[in-house]
Amino acid sequence: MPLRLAGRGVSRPSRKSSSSPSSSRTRGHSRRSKTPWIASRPPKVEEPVLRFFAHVPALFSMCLLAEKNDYEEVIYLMDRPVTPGMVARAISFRGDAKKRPDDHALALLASAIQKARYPDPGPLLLASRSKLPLSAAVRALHFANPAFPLWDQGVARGLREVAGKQAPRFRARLDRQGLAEYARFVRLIVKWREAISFKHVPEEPYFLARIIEGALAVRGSRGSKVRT
Amino acid sequence: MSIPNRWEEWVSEFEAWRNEIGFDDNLIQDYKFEAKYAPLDSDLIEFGDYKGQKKWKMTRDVPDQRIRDSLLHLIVYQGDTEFASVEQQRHLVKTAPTDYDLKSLIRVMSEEMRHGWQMCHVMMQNFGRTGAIEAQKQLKRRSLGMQERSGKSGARLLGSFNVDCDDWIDFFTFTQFIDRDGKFQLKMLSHGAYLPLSESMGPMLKEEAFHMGTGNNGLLRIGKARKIPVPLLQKYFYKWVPTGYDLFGGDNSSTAEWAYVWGVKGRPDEWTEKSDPDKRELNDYSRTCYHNELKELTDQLNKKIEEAGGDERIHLPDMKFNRAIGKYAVKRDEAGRPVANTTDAYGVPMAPEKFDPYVRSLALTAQDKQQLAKIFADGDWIAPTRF
Repeated sequence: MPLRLAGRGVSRPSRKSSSSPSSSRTRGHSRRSKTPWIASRPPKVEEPVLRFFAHVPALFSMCLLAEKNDYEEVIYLMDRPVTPGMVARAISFRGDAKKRPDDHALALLASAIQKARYPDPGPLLLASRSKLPLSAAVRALHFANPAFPLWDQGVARGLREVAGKQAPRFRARLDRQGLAEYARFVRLIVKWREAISFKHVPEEPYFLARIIEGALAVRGSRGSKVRT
Repeated sequence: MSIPNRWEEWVSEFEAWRNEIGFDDNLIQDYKFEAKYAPLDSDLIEFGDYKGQKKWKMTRDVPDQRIRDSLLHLIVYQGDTEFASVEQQRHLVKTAPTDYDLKSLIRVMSEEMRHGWQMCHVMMQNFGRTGAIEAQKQLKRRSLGMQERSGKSGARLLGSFNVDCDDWIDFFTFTQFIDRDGKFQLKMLSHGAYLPLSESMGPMLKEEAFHMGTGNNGLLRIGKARKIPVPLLQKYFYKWVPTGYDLFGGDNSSTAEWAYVWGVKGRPDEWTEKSDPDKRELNDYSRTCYHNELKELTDQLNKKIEEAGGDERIHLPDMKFNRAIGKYAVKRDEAGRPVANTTDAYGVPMAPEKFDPYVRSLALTAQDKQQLAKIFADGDWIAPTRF
């Protein structure tokens, strides 16, 4: 049984509940309800996060300039089922891997990715024997399901600048603790993508998780001139 | 069928509609349909005769029955487009060029359904029995192409939403031009005085950004690949852009003028545009803003074609060409023959008797479709990146 890391509030809705108001926040809103239109409202976020949101279009545009070809090459290459070859290409993005990992490690990760269901990255633990770093495993996971954000030192640094000490800590190893911190990041992105205003969402064909993560990566990069 | 009295009953009808149009629910297992409302920058009415007063939280706060009628009309039309686009696009899942394109299509359709759900939620929760009837009718009308196939009656309310999306170039041009029209409409409603509607707009606009990005990116990838001949790609522009212009409604529209006066629908740039509008020309003003945006995007596409070594260029159809609504609408006699307002795609007047054959010559022919089918079969008609 794979480890479930998703916390309360982000567990995957069952198929039935995905379209049934009785199990969502629309529950009980009869036409006679006193506040009839309140169904779901964006969560509140702190002031520094709101300031960061205002810079997301500019930061993400810098991110695109830096990574443009590479990202799209990988995202349009991926197919189902995920193969070890695809995993190898995905983890070479923003690559910290000097050489291609061995086939066994890639197969292990490809198999783990097939089992991961958003928003729970827990099944990646099944690939811990691959000795691949967490950032590489998450990269492959992201390209297989872009709702999972990328997660590496640069993103974590940007996140710390925006969210302060509350921010999840990046751990390099693909283990239970590292994945628990990543799961916290996934939950944070879920919250932020609900909270961000449409005025700060660029017209790009990417999931909001990618847009926010890309902006954080630039924010955390040392060369960035943009300060929020 | 009885009128849905409770929201749950409407949801059952929504599920039946998905089944009836042949939408595969396995595609959206994790998607959560819900009504989303986001707070606004101001709780005071921002324009029109009620400017400065508190925005209306409930339908009973709306001071005039004519305004309530106008609001319901706006919501009905908005909702109708959302469900229609899913009817138009659903069969494309079988031919997606890549897995990410498939994911994008599924996401676009899921969110369009959520937008329809949202509009029905507003109607069901706030407009009593009339709202419930209208919410139910959203699921009864069908996009005309589909209607013809299934023999059902009742077409969708607006022209663009009764045109078939035959292939993925249709999908990219549709999301580029027709969803972009949607962005303008949602922005115009987002300043409105009626909170259940204006608070619906933020989350919808956020989702539309992805739809338009998908359309624009797809066209740029096609331009880069240079496998689709430019004259064929141009035909898709002729198919969708004039209907996009029409979606803004008639010129000198009293409906738009009243919606502005009542504070329920503003200009797309109401946040930044501080001057008083010419209220008789509101639709034309919005249409011109839309046209300017399309021009910029078409220039980008042409730049992409040029970078890829292509000599031909895409031409954005003139605002006067092949219109069905407004002052440029082609006038026809009782037999349906054009008699006035006939121009070529560049806006140059042409003899009415030449107009229909000319328009037919700009549409995709059976031969074009055969040629496209061969190109699609080769699989490299769209580049793996746009850059």
